[in-house]
Amino acid sequence: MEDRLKRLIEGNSEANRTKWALEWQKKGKKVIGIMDSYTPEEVISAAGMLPWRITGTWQGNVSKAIVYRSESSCGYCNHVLESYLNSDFDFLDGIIATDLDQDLLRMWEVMESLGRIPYYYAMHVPYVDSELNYRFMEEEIGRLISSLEDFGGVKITKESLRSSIDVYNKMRSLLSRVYELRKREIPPLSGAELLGITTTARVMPKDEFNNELEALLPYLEKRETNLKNVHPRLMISSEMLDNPAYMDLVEEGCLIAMDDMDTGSRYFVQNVDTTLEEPAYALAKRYISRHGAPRMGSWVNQADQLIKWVKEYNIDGLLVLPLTWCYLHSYRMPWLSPKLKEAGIPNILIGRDYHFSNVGQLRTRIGAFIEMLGTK
Amino acid sequence: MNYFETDIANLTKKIKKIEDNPDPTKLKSNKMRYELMLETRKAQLEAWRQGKPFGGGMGLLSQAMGFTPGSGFSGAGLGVVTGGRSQSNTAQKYFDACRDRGLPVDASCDMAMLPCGATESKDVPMAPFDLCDTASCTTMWLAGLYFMLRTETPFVYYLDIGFRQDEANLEHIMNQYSEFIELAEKIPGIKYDEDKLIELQTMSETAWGYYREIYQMLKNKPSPIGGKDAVQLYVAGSTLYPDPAKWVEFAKLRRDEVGERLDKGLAAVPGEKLRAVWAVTNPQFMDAYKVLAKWKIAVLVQYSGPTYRLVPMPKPDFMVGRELTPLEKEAAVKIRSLWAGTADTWIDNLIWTCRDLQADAIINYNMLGCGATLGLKKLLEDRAEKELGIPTLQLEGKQFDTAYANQETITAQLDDFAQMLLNMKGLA
Repeated sequence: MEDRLKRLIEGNSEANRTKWALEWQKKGKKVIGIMDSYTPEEVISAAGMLPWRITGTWQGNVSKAIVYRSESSCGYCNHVLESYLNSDFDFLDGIIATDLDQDLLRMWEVMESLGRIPYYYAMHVPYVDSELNYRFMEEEIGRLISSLEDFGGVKITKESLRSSIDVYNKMRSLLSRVYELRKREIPPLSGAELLGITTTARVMPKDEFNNELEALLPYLEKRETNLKNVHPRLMISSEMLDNPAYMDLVEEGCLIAMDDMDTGSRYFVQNVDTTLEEPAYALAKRYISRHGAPRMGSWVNQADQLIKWVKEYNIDGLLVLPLTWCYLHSYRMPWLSPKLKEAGIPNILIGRDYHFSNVGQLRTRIGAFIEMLGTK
Repeated sequence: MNYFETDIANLTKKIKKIEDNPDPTKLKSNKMRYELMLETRKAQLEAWRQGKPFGGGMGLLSQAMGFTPGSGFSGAGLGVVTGGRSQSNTAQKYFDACRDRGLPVDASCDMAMLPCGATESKDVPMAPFDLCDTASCTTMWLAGLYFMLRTETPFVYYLDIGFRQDEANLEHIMNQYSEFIELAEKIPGIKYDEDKLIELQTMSETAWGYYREIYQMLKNKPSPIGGKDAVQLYVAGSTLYPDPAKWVEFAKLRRDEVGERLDKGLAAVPGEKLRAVWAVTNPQFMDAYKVLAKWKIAVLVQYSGPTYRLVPMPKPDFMVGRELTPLEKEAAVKIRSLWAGTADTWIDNLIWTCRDLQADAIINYNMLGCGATLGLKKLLEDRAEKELGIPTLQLEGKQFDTAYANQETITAQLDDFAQMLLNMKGLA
């Protein structure tokens, strides 16, 4: 079982991440690249296509990308574009983006203009949690459905969408059960291992992922680990953090007991409400109303959720580890930090590159924060 | 002194300088423009003293609902920028106030920071109501979110806007406008008056009509105006004056004056050899257009989010063949802001503008922190080359902050580009 777990943990490594996608295509089916956790994957799956989360190159060189973009901008976008220009994504049948932020949209637009692959689509995700916005996103999902139907020569029925939602809800429930285990004083998985699992979920066919995780859960409940540290307990908040090396670095001095990341908890938090009549509406409601990225207008709710998780997971401090040019966290943190301090939660923001770099500097700064937590 | 008082002092000095020692090389109507801005600032200051409600981010809806425009997030932001040339030192004070709060000044668009800084410094009044929307860009939206929550603005309506210029987006905004008006009318004295909106829109359209006549005059070679005089054409129209009728009068006067210059053969850049379109924003700490002017290159337009008001670029499909209602026209303003649209929309319309003006070059000012435009620089450059055969200079810098690129650096780059351009055209 440990080997089986290891395969799940390492599913998104550079060596493995295209494996399932290529197998999917051998069956004559299509693979659609996606980049953020707001793209409604259920729709893609309902079309018989595999949604595949794009990881950018983990190498430092982005010399091709910065011909198109500023070096002083989103690292994820720069590294994804670099990979695209290196033909790493030529196997994809399509790429779908949302306007998570404009920089991501612009990067997608560069890829679309270069036209290396057959299909590109972008959709708007409303910024605000309200009934009007659920309705608008329902329409956006309708447009996405039409587009995928045209491209794939398929029909996405309400039934196929409901079936797809059921599969994804099962994945969400399974991952929630795994995350519950993090509440233990000695969890069965490190933060790096958990990130491995959640990022593997994004590149595997969901049925297969669900089967694997369901089979592994009893083992995980009993698994003994040799975690380097179990105190202090940290929560990490970030966007586009997909490289477990960062988690390993942080865990040199602490335990990552919880996360607030699009590549982690936010990917699976909150099921789609299957009691609602219209599946597209139900999807829209779930994607907008769940605990969101800082780009969403729900900062007050986001803060409340973070404070709740701090209590539930017995967290000693919050480490916000955004990409250096990530506007989302840079704007939210000056508002969020005092709120957290009021709630007695030590917190700090430390910028990072997308690829694993500046290790010495990060180790020093993160180490200082951890040390401060340890002496509390 | 607060922001308005500082601006009043600066504008009063400017007006006096013109009266005492008019510069014959500058447009006479500049005096009226400063007088309009002065009246605006005085009205805003008086409204603040009287405790009248300000409303931010609403365009003409501010006045149509009984708010005083020019504060809150978007209003202060625009006000600070348009007055920015008179308040470059104040900008640094506002940036420092932002840095004290931990805001990402150095990595961010200056326009997104200034309203936050102005409010932190208590230099502008707080608006009881703000319309926070995504029409500008992600950065402005985030700064607006921070601003609303930090200042605990009592009434905020978050208006969601998609990135497509289409009927669905228009309908989406209109649905939200109903909610927004209902919320705003909870404030005593605030009531949506459609007749007032129609009146304001009529005056606005009249004024913009005069500006668009000026735009047509820019096509003449040599252009009768250029540089700051041309660039401020869309900026001046963006500010909401307490006396819109006076703004219409000014626009007409400006049109007549530019027409007179054209009739007399007066040129913005005497001996104009080439012409350029400047895109995104510009370094407020220098007159970059003068640098190009010395090479006989006239900058005719600053292509930016609201440029569609000035340049008669093709309308999006949803506006063709039907008359929009007054509220739909305000919704269309939000949609047509070029900042938050697609790269294609931005570049299509920039190419259109360059073709219409027979521009020889594009100066693309890549502003650090501008998520809306940094990622399209190569797309723009390639299309300009392919579709128009013109080169693009990619500058990098900020609006007020010289730490990233200062006057010397930008001047050197402009000089090099100008020489290359002239050589290319055999005009060196």
